[in-house]
Amino acid sequence: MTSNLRFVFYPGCLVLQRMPQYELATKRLLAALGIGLQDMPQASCCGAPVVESFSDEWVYLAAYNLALAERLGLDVLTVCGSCTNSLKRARLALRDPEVREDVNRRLAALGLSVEGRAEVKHLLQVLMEHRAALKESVTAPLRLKVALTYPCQVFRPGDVAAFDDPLQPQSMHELVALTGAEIVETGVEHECCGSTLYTSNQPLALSAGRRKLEASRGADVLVDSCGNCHWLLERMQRAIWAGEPHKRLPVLFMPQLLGLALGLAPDELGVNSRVVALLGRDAHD
Amino acid sequence: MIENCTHCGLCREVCPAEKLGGRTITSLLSGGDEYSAWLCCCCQLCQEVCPEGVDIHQVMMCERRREPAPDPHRRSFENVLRYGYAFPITEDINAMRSAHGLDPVELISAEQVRLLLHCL
Ligand code: SF4
Ligand code: SF4
Repeated sequence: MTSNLRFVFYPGCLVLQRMPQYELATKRLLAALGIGLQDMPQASCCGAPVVESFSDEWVYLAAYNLALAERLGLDVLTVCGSCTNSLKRARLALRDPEVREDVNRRLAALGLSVEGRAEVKHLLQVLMEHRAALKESVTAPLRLKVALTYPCQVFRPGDVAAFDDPLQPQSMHELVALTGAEIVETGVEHECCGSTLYTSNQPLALSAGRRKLEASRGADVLVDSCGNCHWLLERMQRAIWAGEPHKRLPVLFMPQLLGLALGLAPDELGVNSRVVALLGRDAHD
Repeated sequence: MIENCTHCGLCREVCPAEKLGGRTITSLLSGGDEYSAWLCCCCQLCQEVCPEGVDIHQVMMCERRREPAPDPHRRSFENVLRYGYAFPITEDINAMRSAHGLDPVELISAEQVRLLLHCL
């Protein structure tokens, strides 16, 4: 397995603390595809927007994580939008010799240095590069109706992301199409989920979430690819649908959906019981 | 690059926060004076569509540092300074990981964070 070790897994704060299911499903799916992955010991926050909102020192945090990956000789695999954007921006900033020198002065205190060699890729980008293998591995085609929500910062700004289309990305559609599931177009799949508004203005964030979930009502399940999207659209549904619990919609992370299509067991993917019940219903149709 | 802004209002038209009734950095750029940079979701759509190539993200971050920060944002920042993460993540996270079938992780130390960030 070590021969195809290519990535170091960067969970980011939110997934590390609250979404072990996303990490688990990502690891099980990539293992099934033969894509080697290891943990990043001593990883930290990616720096943006949490630190960037207060200080230019955010770039030291991002560069620190890039330095850890570089020391291991591996590329970085991310699973959230903002971590992807932050680490990719820092990598581009490191092309400037002055920035690099400044960053390395700071990292030297930790016995590290960075050049910006390690590439940064979101899970969607890696999966798109392996879609032929993914297609061949589908052994349990899904009979589900799936709505999608795209993580903004995996695709924008286009010159930083350098992946898919910055305004109308299609990668999630293409990946779900491999599973046999039916895609329900919501018209808002490319709109921002609004999750990060929650810490500034809760009602605004909840109405953003409601809008997206309302539009997804024709689907059995909504699929996302970012801890922030998932936090609002799955974890906050109780607040979004206060008094209307019948409107609650199951939400899966992309690697959970793909893992199911590969025949992996739901509990190996951290898939919740509501979705398992849906799959059971389908199997007996 | 903010000098290049023609106040055309395109960024505000596409902004998801504005569509929900929030007034954020795109209101400032479109000539308004009631806004909060903290109501930006960082979706980067404004920047993508701006015909003048204004680095709106940079403008927004400058404004955030001028405005008073909402408490939850300040707490997240303080968590990073203390723990290296936006949440108070400590070793007990490994018990939760093990319950989910994940290997333990080695966390960054407070000492390492202090060496990295001097901005307290
Ligand atoms: S920032 Fe760009 S899109 Fe927004 S008002 Fe100025 S020129 Fe127009
Ligand atoms: S980045 Fe912020 S200001 Fe720009 S469109 Fe998105 S929410 Fe609006």
